[in-house]
Amino acid sequence: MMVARKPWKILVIDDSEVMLARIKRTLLAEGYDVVATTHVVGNARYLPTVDLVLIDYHMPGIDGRSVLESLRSVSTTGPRACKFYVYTSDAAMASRYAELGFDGVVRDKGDFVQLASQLKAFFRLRALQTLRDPGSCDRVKVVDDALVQEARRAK
Amino acid sequence: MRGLPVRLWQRLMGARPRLTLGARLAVSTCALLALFAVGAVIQMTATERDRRFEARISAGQATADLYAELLRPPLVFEDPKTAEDELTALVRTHGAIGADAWLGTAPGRPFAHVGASGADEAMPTVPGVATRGRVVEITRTIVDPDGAPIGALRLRLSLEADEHAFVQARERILATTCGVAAALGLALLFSVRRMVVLPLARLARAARSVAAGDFSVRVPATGRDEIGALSQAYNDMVGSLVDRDQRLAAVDAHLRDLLDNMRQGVLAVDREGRVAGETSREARALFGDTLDRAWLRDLLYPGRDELDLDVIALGEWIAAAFELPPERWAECEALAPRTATVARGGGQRLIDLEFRPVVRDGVVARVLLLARDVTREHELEEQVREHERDHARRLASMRRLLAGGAQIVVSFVAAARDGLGRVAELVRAAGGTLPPAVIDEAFQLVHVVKGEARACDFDVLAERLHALEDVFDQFRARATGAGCVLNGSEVADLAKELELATAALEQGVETLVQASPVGRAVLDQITVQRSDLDALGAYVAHGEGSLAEIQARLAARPFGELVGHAADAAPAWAAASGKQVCVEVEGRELGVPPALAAVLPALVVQLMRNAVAHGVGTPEERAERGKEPRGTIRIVARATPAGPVFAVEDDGGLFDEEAIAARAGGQRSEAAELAFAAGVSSRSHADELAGRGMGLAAVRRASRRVGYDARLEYERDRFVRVCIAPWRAERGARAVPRQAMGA
Repeated sequence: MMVARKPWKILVIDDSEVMLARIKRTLLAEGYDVVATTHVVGNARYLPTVDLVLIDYHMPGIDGRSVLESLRSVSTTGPRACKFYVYTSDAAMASRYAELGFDGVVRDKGDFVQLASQLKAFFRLRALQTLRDPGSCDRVKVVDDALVQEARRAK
Repeated sequence: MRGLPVRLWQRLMGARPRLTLGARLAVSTCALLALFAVGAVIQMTATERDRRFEARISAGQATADLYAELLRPPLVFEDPKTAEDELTALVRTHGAIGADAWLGTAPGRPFAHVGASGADEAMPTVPGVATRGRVVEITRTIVDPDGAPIGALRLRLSLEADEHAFVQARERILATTCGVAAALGLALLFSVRRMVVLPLARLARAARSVAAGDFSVRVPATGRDEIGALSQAYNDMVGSLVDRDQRLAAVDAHLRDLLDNMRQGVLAVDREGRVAGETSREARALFGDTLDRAWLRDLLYPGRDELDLDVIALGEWIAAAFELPPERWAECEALAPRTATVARGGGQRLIDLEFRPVVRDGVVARVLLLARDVTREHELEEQVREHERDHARRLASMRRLLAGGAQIVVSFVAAARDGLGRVAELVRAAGGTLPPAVIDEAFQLVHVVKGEARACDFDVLAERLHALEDVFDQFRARATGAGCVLNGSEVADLAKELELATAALEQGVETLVQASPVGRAVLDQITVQRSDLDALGAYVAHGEGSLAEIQARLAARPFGELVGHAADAAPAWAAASGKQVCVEVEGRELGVPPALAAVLPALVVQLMRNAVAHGVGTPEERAERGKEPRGTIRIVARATPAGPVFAVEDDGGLFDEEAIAARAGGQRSEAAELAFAAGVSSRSHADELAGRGMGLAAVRRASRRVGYDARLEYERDRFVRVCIAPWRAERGARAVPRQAMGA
């Protein structure tokens, strides 16, 4: 039985409307389900269905760390939890992502081709982690099956 | 300290002292021969000793028997003197050391005595031989003629001389035995070395050569013994190895040919993620020559570090590929990277990636990467897609134009045909030398048609005309007073460029026809006002009004129809230059006389492009001057008593009168007029939009051809406006007041 492809859902938090619009357009074109917001509060409601949270750490007047901490405090833990990645073009910050409390980094902010490529790699990575540890995430597993079957069909 | 000699020995001889077979045979042979020699010496010396002593004793016994006979008379006659003489003769002639003779059978002192005395001087009662140290005593009974015992004789013989002779003999035996043993040993060693050691050494050397890859070495296998059989077996084995090696080499070469002739680059990756084993020629062409033990991540994602998600995902995938059982390969392979981009030959190459497992003993031992350069295919696909997009865009553009009134495009087509035809005619008439005036006119015609082509989305034509414009620009730069002299190939090239431009125009016309709902009929259609048709009908019916007036109104084109395409295109031109503009059109309904309507679209396009290029400025420039980031261009048509007047105005007010005056060699106060001189521009460089200094000159020239003139008005930092007004009005006392065109 074929499993319907459930699109990955990404929450993007950035203070720039222009940047959000570009990111959203890019990710929608890649088939992702995107929630893009400039708000730093009220985003917790998205977390149960979101696979990845992309956060701009440098937001004028807003402490990126507090945004991250507030979202982390209400998110589930373990392999099923969504991942928090910092989206930055700052190489120094990228190298300190773990110290800042993020799970990873998507670099070259503003390069949307690179963004699409890196997010593909991210979701491949999650699927591979599930493949190696099948019991780790039911939701990801469902999506993985679909992904595998889709790849087979493509071949 | 006890281990020091051992350690020294081991250091000298290696961790495990090794003795060669020859040495071991030598040692064994020497030991055996030594044992044999010792045994032989012992045996021989014992035999010699016994032989010597027995001979001595036998001789002594015979002597004793003889003298027992000889002593009988003296004993019978009891003559001691004779007995001693006999004993003396005995001692002297037979080497005895002493002799005793007893008379009678009763024990007592000897009757006669010569030489050394025995230890026991009592008369022996039993004849025989007794050995005391190195002295042998031989006793004999002396009997009378009747056989009755009358006395006894004891002869003492010394074995010293025999012992001495024995020692000498023993030394000879020892020397001879040792010599023989040594000779035997040497002969044996020589034989063993020749028959065993040397052939084995040859075999060992040959085996080492084979191990080193030299299969040409053979050993002589002449003997019929075990060594010969071994040598023959060795030669057979090497022959088999050579045969197998040749077959393997042939298979290897075949596989290598297959690999190297595959379009895919092939390499294998181990569980560390490193390249291992053979790689194909295409793989080296794709990823570089130094592939052995290279990291796959460095090949696929060169220059990226461990934070890169592609690199992380690749590492996870390699781990999964080797960790999962082979039957789950399909799931794993579905998550493999599909493409990579690598820098090769000064450009980026798109590589398609496929992975295959190499399974051994039920596990994935290696992963084969099949990489294929799909750059060209990708480019072709992109070109096809781009072509399709371009065609669709053209169609959509044409449909938009047609929706707004096909006449504008049809008019452009007619004007463009006229313009290109005029250029071809000018070039033909000039022959091989183009006068400056011809070059200028041709350039202006091309320039005007190019601008309108761009506005009408005839992009291919615009590109062709841009190239043609460059050609005329070069001719203008080379031109002297008499003009520009062209050689044969330049004339041919120019004709070819004109042909290509004409072909591009016709191609655009075909697209137009394709996009038009009425097909080719669109080329023969015009739009008229219903009110004019009604008036014409009324005139025909009632004979009212002026027929010439109605005809003029029918022939006139609405201003909005003529400039609509330029108004639509201007924001895109501005965006390409990093600017923002909005276009306002006033007087859309005003009728444009047919003569002016034929050229006005091109003139408006030219003026709009000038406004975008020179007038509005970038958002940053405008912000510095306190203006909104987005500029405004107004296209205005007004009816005046002298006739319709048209203007294109921008709100930038960036007219650089100093630059114009400097380039034209005039006064600042004359800048507004100098701007119409050919080749004068306020910009130091030309681009797609403007800068060649031909736009305004072309506008004025085209306007005057249809009875209008162009005039430039400006107020610094407020506006720049170009008005097109009836020529007679311009020559008159400003029949069209400046305020008429103001906001």
